[in-house]
Amino acid sequence: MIETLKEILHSSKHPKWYEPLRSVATARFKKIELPTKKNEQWKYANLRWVESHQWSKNKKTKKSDVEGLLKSYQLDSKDVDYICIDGNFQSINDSLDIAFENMQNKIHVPSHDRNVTLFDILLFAGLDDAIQLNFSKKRKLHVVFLATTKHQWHNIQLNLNVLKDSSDNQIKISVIYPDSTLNLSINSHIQSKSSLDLMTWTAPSSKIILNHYADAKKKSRLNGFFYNFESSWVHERHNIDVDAEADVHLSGLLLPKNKDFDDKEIDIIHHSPKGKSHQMFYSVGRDKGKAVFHGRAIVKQTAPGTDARQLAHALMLSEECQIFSRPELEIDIDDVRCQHGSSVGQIDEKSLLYLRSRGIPYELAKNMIICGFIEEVILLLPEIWQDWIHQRVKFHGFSI
Amino acid sequence: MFEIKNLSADIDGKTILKGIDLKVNPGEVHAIMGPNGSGKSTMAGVISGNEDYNITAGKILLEGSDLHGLLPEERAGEGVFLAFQYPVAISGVNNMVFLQASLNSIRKYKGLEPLDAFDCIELIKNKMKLLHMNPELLQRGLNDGFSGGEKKRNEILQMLLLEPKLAILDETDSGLDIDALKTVAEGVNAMRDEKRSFIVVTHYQRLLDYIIPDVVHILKDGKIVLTGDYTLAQRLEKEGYGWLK
Amino acid sequence: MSKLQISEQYKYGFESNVPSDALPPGLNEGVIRAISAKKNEPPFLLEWRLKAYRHWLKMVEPNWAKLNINPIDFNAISYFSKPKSQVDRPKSLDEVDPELLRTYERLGIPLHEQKMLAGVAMDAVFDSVSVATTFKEKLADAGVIFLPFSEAVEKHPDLIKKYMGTVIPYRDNFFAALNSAVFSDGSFVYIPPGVRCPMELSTYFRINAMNTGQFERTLIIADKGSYVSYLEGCSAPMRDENQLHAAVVELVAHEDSEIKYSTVQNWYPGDENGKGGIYNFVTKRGDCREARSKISWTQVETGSAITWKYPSVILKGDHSSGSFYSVAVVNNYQQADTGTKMVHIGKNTSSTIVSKGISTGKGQNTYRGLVKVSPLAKNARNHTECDSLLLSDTCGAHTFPYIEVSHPSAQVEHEATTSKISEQELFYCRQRGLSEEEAVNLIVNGFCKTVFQELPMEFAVEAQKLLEISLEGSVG
Repeated sequence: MIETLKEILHSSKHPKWYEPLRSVATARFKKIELPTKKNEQWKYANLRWVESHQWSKNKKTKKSDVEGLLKSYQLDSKDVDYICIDGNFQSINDSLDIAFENMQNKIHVPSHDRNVTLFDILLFAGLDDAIQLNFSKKRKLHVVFLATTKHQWHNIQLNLNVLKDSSDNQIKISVIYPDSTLNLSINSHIQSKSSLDLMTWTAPSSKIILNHYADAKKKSRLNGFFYNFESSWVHERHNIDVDAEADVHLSGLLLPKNKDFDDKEIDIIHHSPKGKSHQMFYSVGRDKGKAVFHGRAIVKQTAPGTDARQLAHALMLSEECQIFSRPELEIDIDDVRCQHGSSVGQIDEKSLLYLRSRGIPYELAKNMIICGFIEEVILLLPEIWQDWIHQRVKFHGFSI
Repeated sequence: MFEIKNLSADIDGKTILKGIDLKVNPGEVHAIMGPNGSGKSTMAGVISGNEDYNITAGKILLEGSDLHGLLPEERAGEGVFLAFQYPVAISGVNNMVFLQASLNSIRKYKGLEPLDAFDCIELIKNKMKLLHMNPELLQRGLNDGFSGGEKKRNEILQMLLLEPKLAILDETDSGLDIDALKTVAEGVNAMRDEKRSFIVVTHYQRLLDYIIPDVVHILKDGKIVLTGDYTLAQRLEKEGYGWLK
Repeated sequence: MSKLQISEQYKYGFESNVPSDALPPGLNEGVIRAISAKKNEPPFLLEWRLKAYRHWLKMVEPNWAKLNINPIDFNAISYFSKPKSQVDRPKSLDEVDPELLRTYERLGIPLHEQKMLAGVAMDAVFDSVSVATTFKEKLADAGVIFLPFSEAVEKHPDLIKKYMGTVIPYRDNFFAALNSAVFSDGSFVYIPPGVRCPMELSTYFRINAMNTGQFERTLIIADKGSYVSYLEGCSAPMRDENQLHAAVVELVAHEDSEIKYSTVQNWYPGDENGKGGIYNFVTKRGDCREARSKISWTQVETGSAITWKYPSVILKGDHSSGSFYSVAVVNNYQQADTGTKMVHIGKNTSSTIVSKGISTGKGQNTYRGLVKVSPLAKNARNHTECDSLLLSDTCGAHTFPYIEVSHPSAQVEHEATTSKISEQELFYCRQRGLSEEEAVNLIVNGFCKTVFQELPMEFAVEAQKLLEISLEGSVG
């Protein structure tokens, strides 16, 4: 067992009914080791920080501290609907939603045979809090995860339940974990004919392990936007089931700098006819940054008429950055339209010449092209989120 | 006045231009015609500062000062404009943002105050009307999803905005239908005055029916082999390039 | 589909009645010593085989490929079989067993020089042993060495010692280790500096005996400034049990040299219920060892029950280039997991990958390819095109590209599409009077054209025919 993670197991509180689940998970956790490079999912990840880090316990925090923290990221507490401070959800007063103590049968420890890693088991062995949010028509929420001191590690489960026939739902998830780690599991159930826009953003120097499972039912729509680019270490795993005529779009930016690591592993599985899925992830590597895109579109024999696409493009701006791209297709039926495009390269010389011949100086022209590249992804965001992401991208060092 | 003296250039070790001399007085329109591969586009590229080409001899002078060593953006600032044969499309770069950046970069080069966003839009929209362009094109990515005609009009729009001293039109007529061709020609003719020079590079005489040149040069194997007036273009149209030795 | 039709489809599925001298099934050090002794090998080779065997014992079969494989009992296989009449190698074609020659004629590969395809020198490997190499003198005049591997061991031990295992070490993978321990024969080619090999070189492999594994080993060396084009063809009789083929092919390209390696692989694919067929586990790798060297792999894979092969190029030399052109067809219960690795190490290296996968019946076709640009590989270029065509609603097409870039000057592009045959194209052809089957053939041929163009003429025709045969009855 990983000694440094022991503390996490002792620090969590939970309702009584959870006790048996927790002991099962803890027993399994004690037998499990950190994934190595031989594990395909973690092939490119550096996990040494897990073993060498000292974790500290949560402390009581004043409300004024919270407001100040939010402000420093241009967030206003008035615009926050739910907040999880140091691993505990607060101010939950909506009757639609379900707190940890009432989530019996809504939390399942993954079975042995799945491709389960240390972090999945740790989530259940050290589960700090859980919540289910229900979405009926046009519900728009902002949920913030906040660590008020350094060196914390929390394990949280968030269930999103989008009710049948309810459209225009949105949830923005902000993770502010400076020098701390959030191990977050999101379960989205997008019921038939409903829709959800889901965005995640992570503050600088936070580490996030995101395990996202989504079930997009018949004729539903899921737009997932993963903008954890400011984070110093990201590992995302998305597992999306696409039902008949459902439409799933996942997009995001990977903009690693310094020694940042950003890893996205995506499985989109089409079980039923006429589903649609698009994956669009763009990377820009700087310094010693490392970006990994490992996307998979799986089309089962029961899913004729599927349209599955992947786009993964990357720009390399420094000598020592690294880009890994694995756009995979697994197709078991003929009536499909599947394609992927992936490229790794530099700023296009022709575009650069064009801008310069219109009088735009070299550095500006270069920045315009890089920002234009990033913009292609941002344009997919709902308009109300675009401005804020523009600010964050600018803060991250990309502006004209 | 624009002048090229004994210009030779190569690309990847292959010589394309072999000693070109050309003199364009202010207010004149010169047409450069020639068969495929004669070096027409290379000449346009060399003048605008495309670094793929390597100048082995000669000089390029705009109002007496040598353009040698100037970056493409500096040449643009000096007043050289190239309407590209194949304008690039950059989907994420907003057309409006691009036009504004271009306009203000050149103003800055000339030591002028930048125009604010409002004045820019005003100016751009007025010029677009002249070219019968759909204002929606401003909100799209630069040339992104533009039709052939829209791209070429966008080039001429930039020419109108930047008011260059020397404008080079590289095969601007290719891929244009007759209406678009007329609009483009109107745009060019509206700018003709005694301070400005034009070089129109074209394979066919068609465009020259609408933009009447003062002088016609024929380029072949990297050299100007014949110079004449408008009638030369008409002869080429009738007889092709075959009779040239 | 009737048995008769199937036999027609696999027209190479006859069995030759040639008595064979085989080792009993099973694998241990004794067997390896026996193989080595039968071939009068020098001690260094036996030593190498034993090292490989001991290493193999510590390895496990790879399981990462998208393949469903019945467990292989490595002790049920005979690791050496040679036609009896070959015990003393024939000095010329006249001494070759006439039954054997007839076998080759039925395969469409006449070994008699007068009947031979113009300009193709042929080596034929029957079960484990090379039976006849043609055009020996003409090649010798040019200084080209083209010999059965075992003969090369006798005559040119220095070259073998210098190059064998330098591209694919015996530790490389499970099947390469097994091959290194038990390999029987294969081809050896050496092109001296500055020589352009005067004709296409070709080897035809055939597995005939029952319960026999074929473990051939090919080594091709192109010295400075030389050029060679090498063709490889394969077939096997129809048998209900699976037979194992685990070959190793090593290519070494020195400065300014070029090697073109083409394969038309038509091992028995098994019957329509997935019974029988060859298990084809092959390790092929080329080493662009020095500046401006070129290696190109072209493969048309229509046979085998299981195909596991990734012809790769290590681009070490500056300005070296590698390419991989592949057509892989799976029908019935065939499974293919094939692709390439392009490893860019030198400066200004380039690689091209064109992969066309065609799946029908219950076939499973996987492209798996790595493009790796190492931290020192300045200005590396790669372009990959990877298309899959699906002809039935029960087949599968899978694409697993691995792109790893560690130098910012690299330009790597990957495009892939997966689709079924276009109804519009089909309709167009049928409106012009073609039957549906003819139309499919026409469209499939068009789909594969960029790969066929890379094959030498004679092979391109054979490949097209093979494709038609493989897809017969797959429409509708």
